[in-house]
Amino acid sequence: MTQIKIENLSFQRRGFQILNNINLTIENGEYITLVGPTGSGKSSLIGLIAGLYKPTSGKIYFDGIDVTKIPPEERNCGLMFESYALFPHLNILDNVSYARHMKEANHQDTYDISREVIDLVRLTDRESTMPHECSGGMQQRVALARAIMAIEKRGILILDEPFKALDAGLRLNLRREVKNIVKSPLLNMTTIHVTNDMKEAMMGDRIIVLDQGTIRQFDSPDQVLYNPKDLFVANFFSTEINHFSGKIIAREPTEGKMFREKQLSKIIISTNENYILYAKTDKNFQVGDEVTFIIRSQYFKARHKRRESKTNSIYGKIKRAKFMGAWLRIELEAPFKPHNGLSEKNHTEVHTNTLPMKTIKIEVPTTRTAIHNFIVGETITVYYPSEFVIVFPRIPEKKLEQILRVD
Amino acid sequence: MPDIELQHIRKEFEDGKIIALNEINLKINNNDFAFLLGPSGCGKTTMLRVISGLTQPTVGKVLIDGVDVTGSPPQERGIAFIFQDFNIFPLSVFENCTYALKVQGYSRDYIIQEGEKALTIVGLAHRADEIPIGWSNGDLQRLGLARAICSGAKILIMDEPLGSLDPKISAEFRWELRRIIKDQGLTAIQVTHNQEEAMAIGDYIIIMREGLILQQNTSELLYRYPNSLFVGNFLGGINILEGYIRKDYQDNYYDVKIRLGGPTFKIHSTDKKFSLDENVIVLFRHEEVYLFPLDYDFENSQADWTGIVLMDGSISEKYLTGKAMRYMVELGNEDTVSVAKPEVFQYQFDINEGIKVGIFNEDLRLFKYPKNLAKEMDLQ
Repeated sequence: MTQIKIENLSFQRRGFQILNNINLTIENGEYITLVGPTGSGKSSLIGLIAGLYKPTSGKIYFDGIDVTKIPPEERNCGLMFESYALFPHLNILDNVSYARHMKEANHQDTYDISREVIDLVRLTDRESTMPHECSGGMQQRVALARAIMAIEKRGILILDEPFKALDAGLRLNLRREVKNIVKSPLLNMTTIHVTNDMKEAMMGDRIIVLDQGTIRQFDSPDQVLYNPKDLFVANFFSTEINHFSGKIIAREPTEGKMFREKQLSKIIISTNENYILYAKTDKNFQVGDEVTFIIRSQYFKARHKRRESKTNSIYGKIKRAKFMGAWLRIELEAPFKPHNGLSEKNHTEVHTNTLPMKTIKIEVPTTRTAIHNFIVGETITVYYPSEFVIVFPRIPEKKLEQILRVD
Repeated sequence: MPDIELQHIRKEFEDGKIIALNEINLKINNNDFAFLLGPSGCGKTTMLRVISGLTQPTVGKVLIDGVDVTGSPPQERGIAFIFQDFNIFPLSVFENCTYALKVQGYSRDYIIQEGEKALTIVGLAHRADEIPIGWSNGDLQRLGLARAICSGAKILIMDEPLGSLDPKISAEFRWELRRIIKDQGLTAIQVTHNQEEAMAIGDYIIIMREGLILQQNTSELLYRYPNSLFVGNFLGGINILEGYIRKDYQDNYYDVKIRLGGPTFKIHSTDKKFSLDENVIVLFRHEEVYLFPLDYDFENSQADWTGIVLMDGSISEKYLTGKAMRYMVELGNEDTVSVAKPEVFQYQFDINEGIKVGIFNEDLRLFKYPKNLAKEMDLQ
């Protein structure tokens, strides 16, 4: 239970600017997830908070107290890394209580508290088990309990990619468990959880998105997902995206209906390829504005039948279909033409003889219908709700490539 | 054109106290890309080592191309490795790539020819003279692959090669990896803990547990028709309900009554026979559960709901996973099911809202009640 405040924090290492003027406040008891690509500065940021590194400039406050110059052992931070090493010669109880024994004279008290923490991580009755007898998931829990025990009453828990080496199924169960544990009334710790996994990031109370040493966005999961500040954030929180650039040709007044607590207005976009697409946005775009917009692959609904009457529907031939477990990943080759919904006669000029083809990437749940019907060579209709389009001011092609490029 | 065959492989450690592999029989055909999955300690790595000759089996034979290679050293098996922590030498990309050829004393011309070929395949020809220090992990993986190709090996063994890559990078690289393996006529076996990666690029998946192969099949068949609760659970989110056989239709169809006043399902089982009153487990996946508002009009719906079993439920929890909305739904009988719906799903439900929950009989898989359910479901 500590508030963390970071002011104008910069960090250089071996002549490289790793972090650049970071400002943020993490509230008491918040569970924060920290994401960013390799080299974005995630590890440096948590290292600075824990006191493992000294900042080049800037200040760090815990509960209003300047800790910038305080050594790591006095900062009351518990760390758990991906490569946590349990002491092989100590049983679970001794592993968990080790750090506290080093600090506290009263060993009985320490054991009592350790047992409570062991209860919390659901290892009751296993306290005399040795690490080599523990499964991967159990070891993970022991490491978590040990990190928790290293923290005294008001402290900060830092989890650095704790589940990276685990199988997907186990990760799914553990990550919710961990949040429940640290949020339990007994602990209620301020937690920073570094991860590269989108699902894991979504369980934070707020998410810090870091890129090239600066904070791109620090917001609730909903905001990061639905209102990404820029294309980088939008792309980071997507498996695959479809992007279009074009011009707004019409704008309809705000609807009375609210969506995600926002008033949206409908805009009609003519893309560079002469497609007509609808979007709804709360941003203040005007007719004539150049925009770039994205639709995430999972925001499409797919129908086996060819049904063009609906707005925002695209039909095309399945070029590739890949079974991915819960999701079917489809690449659709779509010959585009301006769609109805917008009366076609007003836009006959955009009809051309050769319709441009565009690959649309979609993902649909693997229901029986999907598996039986969505196969390579089939023609299907996909449709996206306009509320799910994310619109940005026009991003030049070069910059677009640069952001979406995977290295 | 190598295929790999393991016959009755058993591997013991510490005088038989630890059985790492237990009667493994496996065939990997030429130019297959196979994935090996399983919880830590299941024997995956030991199996890779036995295939490559780094470890000798206690019992059994390793055949490559029909030739018994048990006992012969790795370098005679035509196998190349790619590991997560690539050993890059502080030499140029070209020298890194052709190191093995140089050590083996090949002529300068041959080395240049093979090195250029391998670097071209992986798209690094234009960077041959660079020193790969400070390279991104993606590029280092490329170099590792070039080195493997250059060595002339036709079997590629990869232990978590993409483990250190960002998810976005590895997604891109994995397609290329598959293409190169197929184009170059390599036979590849890869160990990973990333199920999605295995499903995306593998020809099939081998699931191991406690030194045994549990199931081997294409990802789709494994995911949809697991032969055990463990395999079902290992490959993705499942729900299980406990019940008993109430009626045997004698044509592999059974009526299963769910405990505590749950519904009755009519379930097909081709591979297992059940007796009346036998305790069973019914398995279905998160995405196979349908949710409807209470006033949903089934009679006038365009969709075909024939064969769906409806239950009353109430939403107890919901959260975003980034790609889907996850609902926890309490059923009338105290069971809870986990349901994943795309965010564009036409209905949004609130916590405590009463709803109808539907599951198609055809989506249900029937299993014998295991001796120890908790152990069977334990992924660790």
